[in-house]
Amino acid sequence: MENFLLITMSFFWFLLLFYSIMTISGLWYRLRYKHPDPLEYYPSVDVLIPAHNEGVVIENTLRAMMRLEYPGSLKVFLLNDNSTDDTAEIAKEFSSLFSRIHYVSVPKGEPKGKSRVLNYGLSITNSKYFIVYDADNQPEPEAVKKLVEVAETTNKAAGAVGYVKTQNAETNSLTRMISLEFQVFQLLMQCGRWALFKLGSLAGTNMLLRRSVIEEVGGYDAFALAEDAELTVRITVMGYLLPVVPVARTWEQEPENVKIFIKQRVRWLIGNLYMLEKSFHDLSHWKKKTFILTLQHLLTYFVFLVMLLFSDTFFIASLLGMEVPHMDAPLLLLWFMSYIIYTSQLLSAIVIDHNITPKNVLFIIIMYFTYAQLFVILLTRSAYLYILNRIKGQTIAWDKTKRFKKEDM
Amino acid sequence: MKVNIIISTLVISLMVAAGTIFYTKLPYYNETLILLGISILIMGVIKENYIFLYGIIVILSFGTFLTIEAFTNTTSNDTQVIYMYIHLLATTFLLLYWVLLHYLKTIGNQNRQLKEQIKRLSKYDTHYKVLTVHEFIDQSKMICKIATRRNEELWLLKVHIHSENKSTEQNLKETLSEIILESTRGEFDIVTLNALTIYALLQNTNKAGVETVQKRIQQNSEQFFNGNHDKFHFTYLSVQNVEEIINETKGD
Repeated sequence: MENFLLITMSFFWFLLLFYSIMTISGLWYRLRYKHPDPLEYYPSVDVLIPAHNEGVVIENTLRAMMRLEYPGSLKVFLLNDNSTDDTAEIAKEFSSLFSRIHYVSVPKGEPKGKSRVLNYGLSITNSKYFIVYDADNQPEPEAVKKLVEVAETTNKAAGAVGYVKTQNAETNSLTRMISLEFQVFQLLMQCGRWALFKLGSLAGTNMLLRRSVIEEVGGYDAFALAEDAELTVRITVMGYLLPVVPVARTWEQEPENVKIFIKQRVRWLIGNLYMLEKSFHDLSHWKKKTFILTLQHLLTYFVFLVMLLFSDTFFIASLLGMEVPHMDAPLLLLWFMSYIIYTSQLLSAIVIDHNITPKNVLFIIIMYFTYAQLFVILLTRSAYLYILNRIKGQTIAWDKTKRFKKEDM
Repeated sequence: MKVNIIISTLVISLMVAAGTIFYTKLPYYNETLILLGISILIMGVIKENYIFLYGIIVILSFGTFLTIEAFTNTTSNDTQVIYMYIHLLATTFLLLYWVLLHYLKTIGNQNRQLKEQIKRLSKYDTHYKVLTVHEFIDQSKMICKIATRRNEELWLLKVHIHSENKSTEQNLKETLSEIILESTRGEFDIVTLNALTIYALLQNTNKAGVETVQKRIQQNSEQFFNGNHDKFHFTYLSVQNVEEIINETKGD
């Protein structure tokens, strides 16, 4: 038992150190970031927007697409995936008026989901680059231009990845914490990882890719629920880079109630578990840089869960005065340092994004005890559903996130 | 008032944090105070963008040190709690100091931006009562368009000031500015000053008209200067568009 605890502690401490270094690297990258000069020539870009019942948000999204400022050829394709609301009607109004917007009705098919729709979109377009935006996204006017500038000037770049900001951060406590989490993810997993290992990861939206690269890797995996993470691994295996562009921003909606949040995150986690399983029997996932990506997945979704459960159990047992296994290790201090590192990451994220407010700081102080603990429930539920579906031999269905009516940004 | 309260609160909080470390004599309190003292110096001199990064590095490094120390010495829970206290106090101090520096820098930046904005928006130079160069160019654009439409001539008269003495330079410029304003048509002609040259844009006139203005300036200045022909000289040119005016006004 003590050996098990010691090994868990060691992994725990390794993770803490790793995330500390990532925080500092991410900060360093953001502070030193210098955007390339404008290009002499801008290649063609097609914007792909998969949409299923997005009537609540699609008008604002298409309005934002019309405001995109791009010196080269830019076409926007609204890929209607058999919507039953007024998504098609709204999209057709835009496409009939503006030459930039194109309405596409995606034929029915299996498996349902974003990956299949994107593959269809790729089959009917032919630009040099394509960029994916979720149907609730409102990119800033220069977002596409900035992504292309980095993609064209970075050696071996498959494309570029921009930032995702939360449109409805101020709506309630949940959206505020989601917004803070996104900022940390982008600081550490995007900027920090890029600074240390030249590793970027696709974010599902505001992601620009070269068409030739997606063709080379064989398109999207239609069965992957986390199609962005899955594609990242395949692209990285091929030796391509995915540079991060913090100045290319899009604004999207996040779930405003816990039920919808859990549904969305369970889908994402199942997607990541799918990838984790794939990595166990696909050795290419452990080659070169992909090794770090896969290792991080393993540490985050397996080891981290174990030690989180362990630290929570130990903490509660100590508080209740129960006997805990004796260990020659400063468990209390380790728990304290995990809180400090977690909080430092959040603080660093809001500082670098110039988003420091008393409310944000207050939320940061309590997030470890609240929002972070949700992860245990989410991962447990995701693991249960994934294993159940694997046993039954079923395909896990795409679960659409519910949208909310919001003003134009 | 609000600024004073915020700064005072931050300074007092810093003193309380440092004082608590000192008076409670927690483990490693000496080393912590030295670290904080060095941090005050470093954070005061490095670039503002890197202050927070430095703070985070110190906070995480100090925590790592205490944890390793606790590991190697097999400390009890009570000692670990004390380590947590001193770490929290040090963290509080560093973060408060960063907030204070950030706040002072923000106030400084706001002040500078406001001053620049005022300067930009000012139409008249407060010393010389002539238009600012920015406003002169703006009005020139309009005048050029009107002159083109009416097929009128535009002349730029330049008065080059000879300043031999830094202490009298200011008054020389002020006096000449005033003379030129009196010598030109206030409703039609515009005047500005850049460094040691005064520019007067004369509309709806000709070469003879420019020379008339020159003579008037000469005459009006006699009462102010001793042997005034040493104080300045004239050049003038016909201008067709605002680009020429812009080039001339920044060239001298």
